[in-house]
Amino acid sequence: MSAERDPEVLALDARILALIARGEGGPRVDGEFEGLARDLFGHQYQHNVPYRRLCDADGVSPDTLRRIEDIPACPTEAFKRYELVTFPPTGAALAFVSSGTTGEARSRHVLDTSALYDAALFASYRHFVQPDRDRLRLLLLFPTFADAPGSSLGYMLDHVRARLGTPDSARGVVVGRLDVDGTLAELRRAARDGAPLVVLGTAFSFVHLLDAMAERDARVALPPGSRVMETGGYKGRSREVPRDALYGAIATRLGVAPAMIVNEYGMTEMGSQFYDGTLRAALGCPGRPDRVKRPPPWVRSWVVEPSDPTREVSDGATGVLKHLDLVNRGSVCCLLTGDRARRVGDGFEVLGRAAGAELRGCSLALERLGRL
Amino acid sequence: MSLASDPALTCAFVPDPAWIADRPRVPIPGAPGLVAPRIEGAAMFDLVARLVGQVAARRPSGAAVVRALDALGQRLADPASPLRRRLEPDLASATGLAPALVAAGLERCARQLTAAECERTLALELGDPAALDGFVAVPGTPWRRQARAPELLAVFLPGNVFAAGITALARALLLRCPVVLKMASGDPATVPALLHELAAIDPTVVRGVAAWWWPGGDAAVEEPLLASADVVVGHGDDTTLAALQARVHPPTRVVAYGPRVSAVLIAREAWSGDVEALAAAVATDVALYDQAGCLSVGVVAVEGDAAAAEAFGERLAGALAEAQARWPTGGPARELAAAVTAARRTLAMSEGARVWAAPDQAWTVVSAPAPPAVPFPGGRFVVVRPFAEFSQLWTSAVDDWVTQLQAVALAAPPARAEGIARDAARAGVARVCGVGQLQAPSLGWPQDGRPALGDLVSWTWWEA
Repeated sequence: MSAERDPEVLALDARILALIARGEGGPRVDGEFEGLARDLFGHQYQHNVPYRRLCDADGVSPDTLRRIEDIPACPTEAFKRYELVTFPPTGAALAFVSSGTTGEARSRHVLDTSALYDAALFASYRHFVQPDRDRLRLLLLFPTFADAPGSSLGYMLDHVRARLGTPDSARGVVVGRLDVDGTLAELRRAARDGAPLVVLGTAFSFVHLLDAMAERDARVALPPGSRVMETGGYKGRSREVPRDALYGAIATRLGVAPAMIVNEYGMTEMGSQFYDGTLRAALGCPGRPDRVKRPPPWVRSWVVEPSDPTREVSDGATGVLKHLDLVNRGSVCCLLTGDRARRVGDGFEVLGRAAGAELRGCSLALERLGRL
Repeated sequence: MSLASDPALTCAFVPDPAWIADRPRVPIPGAPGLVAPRIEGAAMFDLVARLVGQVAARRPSGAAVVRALDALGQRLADPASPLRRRLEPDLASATGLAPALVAAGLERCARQLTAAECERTLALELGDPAALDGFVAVPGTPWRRQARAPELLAVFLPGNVFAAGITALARALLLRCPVVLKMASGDPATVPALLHELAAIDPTVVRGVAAWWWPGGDAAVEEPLLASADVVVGHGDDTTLAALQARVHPPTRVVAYGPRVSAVLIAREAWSGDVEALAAAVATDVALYDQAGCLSVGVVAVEGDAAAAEAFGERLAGALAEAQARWPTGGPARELAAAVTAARRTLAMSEGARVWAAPDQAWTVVSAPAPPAVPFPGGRFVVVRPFAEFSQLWTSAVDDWVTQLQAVALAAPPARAEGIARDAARAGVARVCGVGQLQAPSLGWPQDGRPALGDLVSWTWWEA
């Protein structure tokens, strides 16, 4: 039965969309998230065959589930190995594929509708990056979704530009490569015009831009209200730059203060994203002015013990991130990531990848061969 | 008394301690109380010159080296020897391995250090061991040939399997050339301790040999060494080896030992034998060195159907639980635990998968008819897979672990063993042995399919 005709799916989506519609700062209804999470778990247990096998291996079913923290967590690695969907192949509407090197397996996250994903992405982006303006001029340092098929970031930025960008928004990437001259021209145009600019891109694209500007000794003073959203890691495409140094370089070369720089954390396997709260605070909006990631009302996040995803670490301790994301209605809601994090009160700080211990000598490289 | 408590010793060996007496001492990360000398720049060039000069003045004799290694092996084989009583606690502390496991590993290493093993290795690799000292006959021809050991051999030792370090040391000593061995922080003391022991047995056999720890990639230390060495041996993952290769320039050669895994093949006829003993032997090859190292078992291929694989998986789980009692591990390090969890849960989603695991993740067995390829996490993690015929194993296009096989242990009747071994050889497997023997290779075994000493020497033919 396709998603369009399945009343259960329509009802679930309606409830999730209603929750998202109240926004990141909207009122929370007691028990709403837990009820939805249980119902989604039941739906996915019934319709997602590989996920059901994991649940059976854990001895957890909708009938035996006690707490939502016990919902079996699916490793994001599994998205590289299985088609994790609750609908038949004919129901696929959109697919995100993770980046990777040639020959590496890639995660594939297939959606039967973009409605949930779009609602969540706009709600969070607006709240944390553009809480003060309906539209702003954007400069995107990332290819379009058409040029980077399967890229969830490409999809997100395309849609942000369409709905929240001014018509004169621009892209600083040509044929998948950073167009330094074109980007500089856009930055200088914004400086001349005096209209605030949002520059969005990956960390490695900013490193490339800043290195190029340093070579030319170029600096631009972007107008007040300008801001930066950076995301992702370096993925071997540039040298790694500590965050403080990156933000310092952005401040120096682009004139955007660190408080107006927002880090976005997301992944191919998950429909929702997380942002820093610093920009909201800098604009005088309610919220906590820090870089602790806090889940939106339609997500629960825990920092858990690496050996036991049902055990949350104590406050201040480190572990691995687990998310329960209602936007993943069509795949798997409960995800066990490969990201190390520190629990900070009701949020977390991402520390990097939980890549395993250093392996020396003639034993196997963790991320490469020796796949069993 | 362990080395760590002896203030006179640092994690270093040079033929004359006076050479490094005035060198600064630096702490070794992750090894509390242990320090190493800082030898960089001009001091490294000076040390290299001394090592080369020592060998040029008087090269160790082949017979003396073999005798000394044999004597060392006897001391290693004796649990009551002062050497064993010193090494075991230090190794257990440095590696985190259970003391009983360290003892079992040292006993296996001792078997490599016999005169018979040394002489066999030299004969297999050089034809005539005297080739290192002068021209010898080329078999089947009227010609002669001479082998030339490196002018300076630099060996970057692995840190996760002390046995590999001992093997590398023995092979280097057999060449009787100047050698610098870099210790890894995971095991900074074993090889220097063995060199001190050899010096006490016969100081001539360690002429021109130095071993100590320094931070990997430290250019001030490594650039002068790499510029001086004509052969460099490296152990590590692809990233480590690529970084090393990038810093070595012709004519210096790099011999690289990269990441590999080993497997056990259980033929259907093995079921008529003692399957419990078979499982126990497989568990030994899994648990030794906590599955670190290229000879550790990551996969068991069972000839038969899914039920056969599941039946063996269950027995193996029981055997690993017993091995855990004998050689306890406190579960994988926290950094590894996440990888073990992810691999286990991903494989559990495969159709027909069965999972057995220790509560603390000290070991994991997964049997599945057609499991997806997942990153190998280590930590005594084994996948048991069925194959209707072993021929399918070698031709499976999706199984890139097959192309990375170092060795296979075979449980099969003699009538079939040769055919299976031939297929394994065609697939690039370097070693085929009996079950339970994977972690006891001969000194001269062809790691990564390469000759043990042949890659380190050069030849001159005299076709007169």
